[in-house]
Amino acid sequence: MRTLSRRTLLQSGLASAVVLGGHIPGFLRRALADERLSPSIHDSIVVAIQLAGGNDGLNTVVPYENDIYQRSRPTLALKKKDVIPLQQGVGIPARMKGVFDGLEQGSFAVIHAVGYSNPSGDHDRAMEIWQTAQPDNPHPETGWLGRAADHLVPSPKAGASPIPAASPSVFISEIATPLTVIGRASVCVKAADPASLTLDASFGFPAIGEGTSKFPSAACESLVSDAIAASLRTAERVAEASREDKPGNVSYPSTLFARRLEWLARLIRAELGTRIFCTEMGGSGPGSFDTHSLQANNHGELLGEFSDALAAFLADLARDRILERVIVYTYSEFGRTVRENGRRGTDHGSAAPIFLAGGGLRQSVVGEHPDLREMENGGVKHTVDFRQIYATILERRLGIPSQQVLSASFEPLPILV
Amino acid sequence: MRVGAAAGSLLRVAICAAAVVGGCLIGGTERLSAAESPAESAAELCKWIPAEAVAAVMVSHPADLLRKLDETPAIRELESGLRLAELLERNQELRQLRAAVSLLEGQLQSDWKTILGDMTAGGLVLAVLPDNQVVVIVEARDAEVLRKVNDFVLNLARLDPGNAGKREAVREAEYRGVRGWALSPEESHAVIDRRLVLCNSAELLRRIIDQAQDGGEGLAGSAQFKAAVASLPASDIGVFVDFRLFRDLPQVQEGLRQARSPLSVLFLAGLTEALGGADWLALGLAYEDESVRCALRSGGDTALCKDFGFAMPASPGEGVLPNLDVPGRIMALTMYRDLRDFYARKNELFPERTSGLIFFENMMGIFFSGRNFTDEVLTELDPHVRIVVARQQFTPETGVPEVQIPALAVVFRMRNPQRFGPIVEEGWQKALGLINFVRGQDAQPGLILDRMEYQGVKYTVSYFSTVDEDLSQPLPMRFNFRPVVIAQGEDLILASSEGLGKSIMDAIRASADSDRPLPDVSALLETDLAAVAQVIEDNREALIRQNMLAKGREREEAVKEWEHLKRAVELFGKSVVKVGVHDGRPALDAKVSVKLSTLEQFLPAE
Amino acid sequence: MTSHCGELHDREMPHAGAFPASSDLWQASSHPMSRRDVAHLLRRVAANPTAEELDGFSGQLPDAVFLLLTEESPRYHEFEAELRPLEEAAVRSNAANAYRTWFMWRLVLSPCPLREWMTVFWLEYFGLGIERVADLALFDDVVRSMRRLALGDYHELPAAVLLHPAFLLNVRAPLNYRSDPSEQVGAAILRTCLGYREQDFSAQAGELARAFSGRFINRGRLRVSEFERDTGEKTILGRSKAFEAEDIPRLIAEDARAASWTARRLYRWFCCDTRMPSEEFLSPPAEQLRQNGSVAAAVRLILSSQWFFSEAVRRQKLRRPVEFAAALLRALKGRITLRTVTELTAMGQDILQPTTLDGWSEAGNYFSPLALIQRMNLAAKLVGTDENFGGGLARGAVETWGDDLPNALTDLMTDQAIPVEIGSRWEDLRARYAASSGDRERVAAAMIYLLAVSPVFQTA
Repeated sequence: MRTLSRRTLLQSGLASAVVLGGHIPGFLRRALADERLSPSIHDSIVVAIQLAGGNDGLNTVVPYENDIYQRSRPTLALKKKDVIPLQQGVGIPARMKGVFDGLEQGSFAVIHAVGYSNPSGDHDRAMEIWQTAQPDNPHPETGWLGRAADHLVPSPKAGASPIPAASPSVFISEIATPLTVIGRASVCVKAADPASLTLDASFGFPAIGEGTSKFPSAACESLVSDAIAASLRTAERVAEASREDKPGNVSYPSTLFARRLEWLARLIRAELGTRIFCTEMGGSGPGSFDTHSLQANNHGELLGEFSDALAAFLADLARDRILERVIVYTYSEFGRTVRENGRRGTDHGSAAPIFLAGGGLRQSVVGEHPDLREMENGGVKHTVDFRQIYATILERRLGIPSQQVLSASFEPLPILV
Repeated sequence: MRVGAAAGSLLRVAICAAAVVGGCLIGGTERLSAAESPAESAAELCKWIPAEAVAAVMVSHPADLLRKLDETPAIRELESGLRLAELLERNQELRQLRAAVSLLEGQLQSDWKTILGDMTAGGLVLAVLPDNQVVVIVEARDAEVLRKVNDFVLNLARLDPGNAGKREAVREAEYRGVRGWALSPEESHAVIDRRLVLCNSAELLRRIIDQAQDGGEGLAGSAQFKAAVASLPASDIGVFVDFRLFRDLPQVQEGLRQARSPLSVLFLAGLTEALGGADWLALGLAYEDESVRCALRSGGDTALCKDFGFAMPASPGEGVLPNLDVPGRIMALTMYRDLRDFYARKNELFPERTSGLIFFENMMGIFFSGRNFTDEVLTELDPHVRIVVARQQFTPETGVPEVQIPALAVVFRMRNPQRFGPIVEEGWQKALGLINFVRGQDAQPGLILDRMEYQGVKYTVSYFSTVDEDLSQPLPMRFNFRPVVIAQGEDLILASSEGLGKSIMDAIRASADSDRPLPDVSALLETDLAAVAQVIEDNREALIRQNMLAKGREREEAVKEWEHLKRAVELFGKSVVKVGVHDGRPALDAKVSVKLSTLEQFLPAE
Repeated sequence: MTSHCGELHDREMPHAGAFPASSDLWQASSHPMSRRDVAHLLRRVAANPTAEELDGFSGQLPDAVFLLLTEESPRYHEFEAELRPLEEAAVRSNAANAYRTWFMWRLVLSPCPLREWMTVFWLEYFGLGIERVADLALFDDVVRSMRRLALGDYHELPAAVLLHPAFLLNVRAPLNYRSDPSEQVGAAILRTCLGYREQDFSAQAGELARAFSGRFINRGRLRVSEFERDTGEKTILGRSKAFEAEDIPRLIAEDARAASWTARRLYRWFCCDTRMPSEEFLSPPAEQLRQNGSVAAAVRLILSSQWFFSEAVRRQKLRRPVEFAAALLRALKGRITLRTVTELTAMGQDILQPTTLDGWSEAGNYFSPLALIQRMNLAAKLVGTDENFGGGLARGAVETWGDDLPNALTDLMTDQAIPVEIGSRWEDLRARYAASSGDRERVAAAMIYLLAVSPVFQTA
């Protein structure tokens, strides 16, 4: 059962009844005054999007009037005509119109210069650090969202069922499940395509309650029977949410990434109780964003693909007001060098901006664009530790004390309502 | 299968056999009208087919087919072989069919081939309509033979013990003066003059009768149909498909969408897009000297094909270079591909930036020292691209890899060999260096680079050292590779094995005088499946193991599957597939040789 | 439970009856096994019984059956010889998925199933993972050692594993310098062999790591550098001496806590993973390990005991995906294929890669709603005709059992003697199977599927 939140209170009309009664309690007055409803920490959903390869932050959030930027990138630097202005002298590529519209509407936010100290320039190690939030651990076993999911599965205590009521996390892609969502206890469900989560009806559907023995202590079977019933209900909801002919279906681009987001939106809409979703763009191996050569065209196309797909995804969630409960964040293993190389590309850098999207964002732009005079590993220096963002999401959306997941204390950022 | 039922299906089997078997092996050299397309002779028959038919198969002269089959030595051998006779006896269904055929032969005082030929002398059409409706129309030499066969089948059905006690083993009715019969709910037929009309529903039979009596052009009058059959060369069998119904199916759309990767776009070069915009498809089949020739055409919106100009010969008379013939050749492909144009249009052709594509460009940037890949590298190559795959031969002295992979080579033509040759050489050596570095990081052995000379041409070869290997044991897979890059005149050869590289050098020299482009051909693919069969033999153990793991089979089962695969491959010989241009759209012509004498091993046993 | 001996994820379950105070229940059962007893035993040691085992082992004592399940018969050696080429080819070509398939094949088809599943037990115990080790030849070598010692000498087993190069690679410690010992090595030993939690490590992880200094893995081989060895005194498990890596397995094998911990792991594996008994209750099997040094003796004690055959232990385990698939295929002589194995990996259980050093997730976590959908879909694929998943399960079942198939299925896949309410659909399928001649395979597939996704089949 969902905990009463401000949103449900308003929806229930109770607030109106109280107001009509002439007496407005102080707490309610303050709650109603906040026009932006904060999602409940009991039913918020986190969507992690992994961008593999190292996204070039400088050509994503572009300091187009910065002299160092222009001089360092004779062939790659974007000009004023190529961008949509965001802040003074900073814009995003015109190809990312969808993201820009989201920034204007308040469903998108960009956080400047996110990274960590002594960044790794190795794809695998750097990605592992972002996935695990453990830069000092040479042998990480679990990801930060996996550890968060561990908090969402039954803990061993008297009388508790060992079977989770909802699948704690889902990963949508064909590549191997990333460490991000690997937990010690929780099992992340991997779905390469919609068929894998659509119940195969070749032999009919299992009947609820049947197939249990009369064994007096068959407590396990009874639990499984309940679990099967729950899974059949889940399958129905997934099927219903996947119907192609539903009115108001948003049209997605035909790219692979967009199809994944479309499928993800359906799963969210199905209200499965799953709170952590993960998907990716860029594949496995070095990754699509690893633009060492001929970056201009490729990176532009990638950002366009990303922007169009994400815009459709948010629009899809926005109908039925599901977007309010969702927070999307992107991560990539590093940014790229400020200076372009001789192959009209860039090499491995350090910090980069990340995007947040969804409901309850306090502001569209967080922080200042990094100073290009101060560099680290040839890239921009970080001003925000990425674990602060994780702490923010853990505490403000998942309701999990961040220290239990991150094994250290990081100050959450005041970016989410 | 009961005798009655066998006889009852004799009609269907015989008619369909003429189409299906004929689709594989049909004769043509002694056709009554050698140069006509199928619809010209079947035009009258197609007038009886409703215009909304979604597909039609037309056989102009089935009698000629039967005669040709009879005269083919391999078929005679098959028929006369003791094994075939034994198999016919062993299989119960075939035994029953044979009994029914014998009865018919006795009744009509003729042999079954003559009977079949007489029944189909005027041609045959099989058409599929929406809602799973099927009709077959056959024109006989005369009405008498049709009447006799029909009477025989009806009598057998009435006498069939399986139908005993049934109120109506054969249902009979009359519609617009035409008598019709039904042997089962899914079968209705009528004889109209010299024509037999066979449908899978009574309702459809009535419509055909209406069409026959009321006149009209039917399918033959359809614009798509006319265009389709006019596009085909002389064929023995023609197939028409109204593709408008199929192209919007989600499965078809998904299949076409998946074909948009860089390599598939490069190789298919608009074939799938031609399908996506096609209103109709036409397939023509002909049999010549133990080979099946087929031609595929499509029609419709040509706008989609404009993106694929890189694969269309730029001027009349321009086309692909002949394929290279080397020892052990499995496959050779020659293409006309303006690679610069192709890559310049990547945003339109394959917009998704996969990690593979990005990695490729990263590597090209390294190997070509930052040169613009489109305008400074690909532009140096002319549109003639050739690929060769050939079986490798290993000796115990040099060691035999456990899995023997055929060698692959790609041959380009350089516009300016003097300038571009050294650039390629440098890039190649960088690539090998990078491979060695990465392998070294993983503690794997690396390639040794060497410069060799052959026929006065210096080239770079690389190979793995066998110093630490026991040559008496199967070697790791890496010993399949001895990569080379060879610049011989304007030809640039990149090969996975030195042997193939040198063979290609020889082939180019040998064909230098006759190396003329084949006009208006965009791609030409030649395969020799006999060589493939040899590769299957070379890799027997590896394939058996793979089968065991992939399908969970016991070893004996996996061995049988391997043998079956090898036999299936040995059924075919050489084949040629040619892609050209027809009316602004890609058009495909193919010829496949079939070793009829090997068919015997595929006959069923009890 | 003392704090240094790490807690398993103890959980209380709705359970009939508490743990008896007496440890007399560890005494060997003297009753010949009923069919139901055999099924219970085989579900725990081999994922599921076969028809031959149900027939052959009924009436025998558990002790005797234990010997049959562990002996290396001529049939076992034939089996080994048949599969060895697949193993060697997979290792030679570094084909990890082919290797997984071969391994799973062993689990389902081996005449010595207890040995195979004990190998899986030790794999999970030491947290060794095929992807973490990365070197397939090394991984295969350590797996062979684990199989050889799976029911062997408890003192020899830690040595075979902890001193193997694969163990260091598994925790990303190929280089162990004296000046920079790899603490993760020590942490791994404390967690896997002694059940320590991270908060209990204290300095021991570092001391253990020092003992491993000087060990380097190079091109798949272990090289010991005298210069890099730390020859100083170390305090490990309460003892102080200039211990070397070679001493560590002995220290562990002699440690009472390690024996207790291992006994607990064995109990969880064979008996119940939802409710843990006290240390005293588990002292008999722990003693078998510590005093006798025999894994076989400890396992035999457990599997022959009255406690094991008591109602308190039956049906108390949930099947994880690998056990589920193995049970179905073993019962009905199905085929293991590459696709099945990769599907199991996608379901969250890589047969050769425990999720963390603690092992795979708890079984219950594989029963979340979406995970169950995947499980049911896998069942449909396994009973269907897709050759990529074997394709012949239903056909084989019809050929083997003919008219008696429904009874055989309930015998193999449900619980003997205790009625199982399979429901009206089962009765309908039974009737159709009895009546049908041409459609039997399809009906059989539906029957198998129905049982495969029933609650009773999800438990062991």
